[in-house]
Amino acid sequence: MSAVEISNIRKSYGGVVALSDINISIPSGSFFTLLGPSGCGKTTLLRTIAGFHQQDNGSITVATQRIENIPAHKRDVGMVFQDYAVFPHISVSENIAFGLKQRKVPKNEIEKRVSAVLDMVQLKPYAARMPHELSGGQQQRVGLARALVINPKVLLMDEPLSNLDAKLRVDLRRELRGIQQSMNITTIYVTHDQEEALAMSDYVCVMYGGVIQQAAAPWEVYYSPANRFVASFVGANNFMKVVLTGEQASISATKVTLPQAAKNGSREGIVAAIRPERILVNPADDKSDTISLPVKIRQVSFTGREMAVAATLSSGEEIEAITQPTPDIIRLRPNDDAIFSFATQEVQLFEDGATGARLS
Amino acid sequence: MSAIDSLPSRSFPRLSRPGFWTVITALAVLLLAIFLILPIANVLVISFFDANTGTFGLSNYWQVLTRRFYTVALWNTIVIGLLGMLGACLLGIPLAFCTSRYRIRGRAIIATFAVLVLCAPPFIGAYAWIMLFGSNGAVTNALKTFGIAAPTIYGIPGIVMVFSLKFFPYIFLMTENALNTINKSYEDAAENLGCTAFQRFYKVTLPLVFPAVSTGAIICFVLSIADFGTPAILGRGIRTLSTIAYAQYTSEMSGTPTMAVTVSMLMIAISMAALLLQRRILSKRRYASALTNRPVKKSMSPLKSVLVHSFCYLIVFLAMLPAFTVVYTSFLATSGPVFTGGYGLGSYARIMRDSPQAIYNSFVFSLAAVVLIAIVSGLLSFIVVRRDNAVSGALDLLLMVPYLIPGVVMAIGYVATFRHPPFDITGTVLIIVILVFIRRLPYGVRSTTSILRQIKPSIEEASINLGASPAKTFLSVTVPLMMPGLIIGSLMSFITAINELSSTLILYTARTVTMPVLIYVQVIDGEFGTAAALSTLLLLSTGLCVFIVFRFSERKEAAFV
Repeated sequence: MSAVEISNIRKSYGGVVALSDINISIPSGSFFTLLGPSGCGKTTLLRTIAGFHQQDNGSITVATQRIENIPAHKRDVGMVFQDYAVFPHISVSENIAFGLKQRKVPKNEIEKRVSAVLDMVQLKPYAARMPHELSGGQQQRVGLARALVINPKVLLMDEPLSNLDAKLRVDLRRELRGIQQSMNITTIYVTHDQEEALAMSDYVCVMYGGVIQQAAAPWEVYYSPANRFVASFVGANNFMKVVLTGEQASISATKVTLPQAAKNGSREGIVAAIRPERILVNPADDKSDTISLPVKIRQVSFTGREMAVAATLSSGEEIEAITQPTPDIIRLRPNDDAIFSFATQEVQLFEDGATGARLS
Repeated sequence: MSAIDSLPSRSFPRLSRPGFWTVITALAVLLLAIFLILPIANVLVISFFDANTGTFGLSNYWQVLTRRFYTVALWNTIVIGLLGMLGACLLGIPLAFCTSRYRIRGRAIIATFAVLVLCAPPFIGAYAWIMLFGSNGAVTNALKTFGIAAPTIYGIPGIVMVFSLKFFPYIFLMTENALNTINKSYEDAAENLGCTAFQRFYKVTLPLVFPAVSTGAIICFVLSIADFGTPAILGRGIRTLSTIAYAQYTSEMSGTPTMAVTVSMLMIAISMAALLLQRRILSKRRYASALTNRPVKKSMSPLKSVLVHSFCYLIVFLAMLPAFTVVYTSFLATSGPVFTGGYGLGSYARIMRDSPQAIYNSFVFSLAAVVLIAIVSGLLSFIVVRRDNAVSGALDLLLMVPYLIPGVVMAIGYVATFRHPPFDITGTVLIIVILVFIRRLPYGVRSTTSILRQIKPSIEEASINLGASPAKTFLSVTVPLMMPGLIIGSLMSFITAINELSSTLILYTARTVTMPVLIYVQVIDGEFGTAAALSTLLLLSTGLCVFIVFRFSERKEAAFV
């Protein structure tokens, strides 16, 4: 449909920078997710695209049209809201027809299009209902149908699933992605739920402090995080201080061989990151090219599919492993000694600090 | 589409075409500047020019603060204000405690009576008490036949009693609401930590409802010192600032009302000081909490039940007594000002014959003011709630002003401001309608504001996002959703508008006389029969509005405070 080009968008509120120099290029028809903790600027960016905030600087281009100075009601970008924002005083079908009426679409065509979109979101039987008679999930379908029916150039969604319960959230996210793919509509989606972002998106754009940290495909963001913030925010991660003395690196007073560290010479403030699911607890045989660290178990918790084993390194740092629930691991008790080991090539090195750069 | 595509850099500069809400905000500022700020500023300026010499300075204030004539009135005003407030607290707080903590039969009746007392014309109380306990009152005469001297109703004790009975509903309704929304866990925790029932009330419950009590108390205080009708009717030589402001105004009629204005400024200063003091005390006390554990109402032993019920009903019965007296009196047969014994509709026949103009005026003026209030408060509340800028903040603050300015002061300001051609509107219908509109606008705005805060802004954003312009969004989405608040606000404004006395008394002419003015004049002339008939009419229309508000409002009584 339409590609979106955001360049140099800047926005601050009385000295506080909410967005600093945002540059994003979104290919036509893709599902693009803005992911970040609250206050990172993702919603501000989305609302700037919708026209509810005026940027201080920069441009927004949809297809070939510059839209950053067009009033919000003339932008032709569909929006789905976190709290549904279904008009409570008119029926479901009137809600969906609202945007078409503003566009002076002929009456019979309105009926046709409303009916088609009702089919798509499976709300045909509810057309005449009032919003308060619908469940949260159904109301959000109305919100989606209302935004889709106007054939917007871009679809904006502001945490549309966060007010729904967990089970419904997963169902609706599949459905949403299905509709988006079948309509091939360019979508910008805001969420703080990393699992949701990874599961739905063509591209995930991680934001923090009004700055884009990384924008890439979901697996790339997960396996190849650009910096320490992305590594810690997307998926769980363990960070351990690396001490370099000459050519020799050590973690938690254990000498380790880190080929990645060598090229950085001897420098201070390096942390090693290892994903919990990459850690083996008390492995039977000691393979080469692994790092094995002695730990004291703090807590073992069974979550059904897997076990979470929390432990403390001899340096006092905390570390967590996620493994298959085997009888040996279930038997572990607090203060037991254990060995956590992981392959050397799975370790990623970062500069210390919230958004420390990737070193390997 | 291609037309826009060919102009990729087409922009809509913000300054060249001001948006809908910018225009509305500018108009709102203009409206309040002319009809609210200008008259008050005029009053303020006049007060600085010496009454006799015309020189600029503080000489008027010096006079008011040193001459006995004024200092006595100042003292009386403060004493009456404080005692009235205290009396209202002593009636309102225990009543609120009883109805919120015990199972009271007919709580709805008690609340309805409280609201009716609140809404009834303020001066009705004064003269109804005269009819009962005055020099020639029914109770006074009855007691005289037994050789007992009735306590006098005139003077400060009488005024304080009328104010206490008239204003306690503010305390009662606000405190009761607060008591009902205290998380019971606090009281449970206090009990668990070893507090006795009394300690619990004194150390936990009362401090928690203090914000509500003090807000109610400050309203009572401000209304007590601003009230004109009650001290004018019951005063008998006791001067208060509001009565001397009016008296000075009528004696200075030909010239500049300098001294009336100076006295008025003093009244405003007292109200403001009280409000600021209360805000300062409250600023350190914010007790927001989730209502996870609702208070429960206890049942009582039979003896306690009888005592508590009698206490509750006695208070509301005493407060409603003036209204009952007025309605009863209106059906007494009269010959001129004299009651002839027996019953009849003579008083009603007389008001229909002699004063249809006042009845007609009252309804037309109030309705006109209410239509204006409904429109303006809808727009204003949107600016205040949704437009987050310095101007909207200032408007919000400005809308507090009419609460604080006594009607007498506003009216004097209007006369001083709008008497110069070509804007000379003194003596017209317009000046009364505009004044009532401005004075009662905050009631409308408060009601629409509170409902607008419950409407999520995303609903309006959805409408804009779907292509409706801001003006169209307001009309087709916001207004329908605000409707309950608009209706309640309009009814509340109507109630206060139709009972307006203190400002219209200064502005009225033979053509623009209203029912409250006529009632006041007739009471002063001793024409109690027709005054009662007119008052009954006022009570009836007020009661009707209260009834409709009850039907529309979910929070019922709470809508009135």
